Amino acid sequence: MTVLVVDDQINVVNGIVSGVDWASAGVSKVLHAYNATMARDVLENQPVDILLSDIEMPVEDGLSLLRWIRNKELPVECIFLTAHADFIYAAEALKLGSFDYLLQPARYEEICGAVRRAVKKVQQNLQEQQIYSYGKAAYRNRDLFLQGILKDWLTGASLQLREILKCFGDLKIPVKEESHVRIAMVHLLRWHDEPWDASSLYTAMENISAELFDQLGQRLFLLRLEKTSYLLLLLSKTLQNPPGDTILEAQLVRLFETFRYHLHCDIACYVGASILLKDAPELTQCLKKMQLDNISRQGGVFFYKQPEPLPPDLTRTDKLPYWKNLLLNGCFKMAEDEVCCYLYQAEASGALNHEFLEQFFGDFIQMLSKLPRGNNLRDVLAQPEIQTAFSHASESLEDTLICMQEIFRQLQIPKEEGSEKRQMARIVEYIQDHLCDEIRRSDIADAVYLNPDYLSRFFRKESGMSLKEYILSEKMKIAQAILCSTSLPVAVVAARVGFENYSYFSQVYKKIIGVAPSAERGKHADAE
Amino acid sequence: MVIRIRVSLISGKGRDYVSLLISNNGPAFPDFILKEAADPEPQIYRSQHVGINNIRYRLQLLYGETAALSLYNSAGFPCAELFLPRNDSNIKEEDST
Repeated sequence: MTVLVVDDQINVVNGIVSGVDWASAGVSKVLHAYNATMARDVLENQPVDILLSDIEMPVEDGLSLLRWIRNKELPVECIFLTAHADFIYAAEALKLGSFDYLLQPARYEEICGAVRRAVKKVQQNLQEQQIYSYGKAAYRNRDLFLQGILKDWLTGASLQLREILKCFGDLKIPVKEESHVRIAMVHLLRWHDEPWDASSLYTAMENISAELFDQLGQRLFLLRLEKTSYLLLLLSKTLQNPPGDTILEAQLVRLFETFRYHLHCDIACYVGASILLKDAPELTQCLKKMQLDNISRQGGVFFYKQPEPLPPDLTRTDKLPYWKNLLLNGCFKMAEDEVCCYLYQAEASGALNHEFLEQFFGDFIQMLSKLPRGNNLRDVLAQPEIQTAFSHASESLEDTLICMQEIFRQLQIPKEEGSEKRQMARIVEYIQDHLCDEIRRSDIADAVYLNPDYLSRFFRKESGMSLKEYILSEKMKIAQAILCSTSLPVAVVAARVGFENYSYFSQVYKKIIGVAPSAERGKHADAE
Repeated sequence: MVIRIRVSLISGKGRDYVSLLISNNGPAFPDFILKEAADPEPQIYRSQHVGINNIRYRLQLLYGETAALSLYNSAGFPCAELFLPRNDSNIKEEDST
């Protein structure tokens, strides 16, 4: 709180500045000036709450100074000091809205008392100012309430119903705990033309809805949940005689048609039954789920009903291993067709909802990510195109299909012939690693994720010899190398390359290498 | 360079072995190395490839004639395989007097 003391008599100014108990009046800062010009300079450069001024001053008097202050609309309370109890002065001072008028010589206590009252007045002014701006804000912030608190409450924030009712009360909207409300979710599916910008869209929707429901005595609140999804909250304006359910529902259907017609947009509208206000958040969740579950993005008006649980066999696919096989064998097109077909079947069976898609998509991605390392299939997931498709993938069947197509497209990019070479390398690597064991075709097939018959065909096509021939010849090469470089018993060498039966080993060895294993030893002996 | 070490058990009639197979993906052994390694009585007094013969002699000292070291190429990569008799009694005690 700042006071400016103005008097042309320096000793009077000094006396007041030093004599008054400012602190007790609630004043923290005291400024002074010896004429009106000086005072104006101070007033223009720093905030002053209270002016304590002499009236009679040379050149320009105190009343003129106050007039200047009023013209400038400075929020200053003014107390005049004067030696003359002249009524004309007093009247003029009052007309200018001066706060007080003290006759000189005034006692410092008297001045102090007047200042204290002025301080109170200033504080009161401030408070009023604040309340005024609150009120203005509250009016302006009806929107903030709708798009903020009310939306948060409806979408599951832990707010008390009491607070919501209070907010309604603040906005002078008569709502009680036992008031019935209707909630409808409006989901914009597809634009026929250019999409509207958010604020004109909101205004248009609000106007249309208000017009339709005003006639039914309904107060309407439109909340923007997401870019494409809006929530309508309907409340009866009066607490008596609300229109019947059928009338309201018919009007909601009309609203849907009007939206569709005016906004040039496909719309799905999910309508809940009439409920108590307190149950609104729960119903909102249900409507949201309806929206999520409408993954075929069907337009229309849908009335909320308790959802039926999925038939258990459709909740999760058991075809993943099969698809995985197809992928590992490079049959991308076939895998894609299978996956799409599966999803369409699920849709036809009516089991398709958001949970289903999410589950399916999660499982599918997990399958991809678990593919063996070094196999480029996994890297596909890191592609930027896939990442973008990802974010929406389980929102609708269409989005899932788009994402799947993108994944399959990316899968097919890595050089076609390279994938066969890699496949071959994996098979050879497995065989080389297991030359000391008895290698069964099914073991290789399992290890490289191929169908055993396909494996045989593939191997013959790639290498020109049968899998069995290759394995035996590799084994015999090792056996020969060991036989020639050591004096280990032939049985041990046979066992080393996975042959338990010595004579069978000899037979095979002779057939492939051309001599009996013991003959290698003979050569050995010859060398000695 | 990837170095792989494989340990496996070989049960040949009455004689069990432990095989230690060491291979890498470097260049294959040249033929002369393989020939030398297969020579039952190698030249030991020389300046190069002492290590292989050193191992051979140690094996002989430890296991007599039963153990073996074999060098060969498999699928174009060099392999060194040690065959150690699994039966503990085959091991000669170094400190016995």
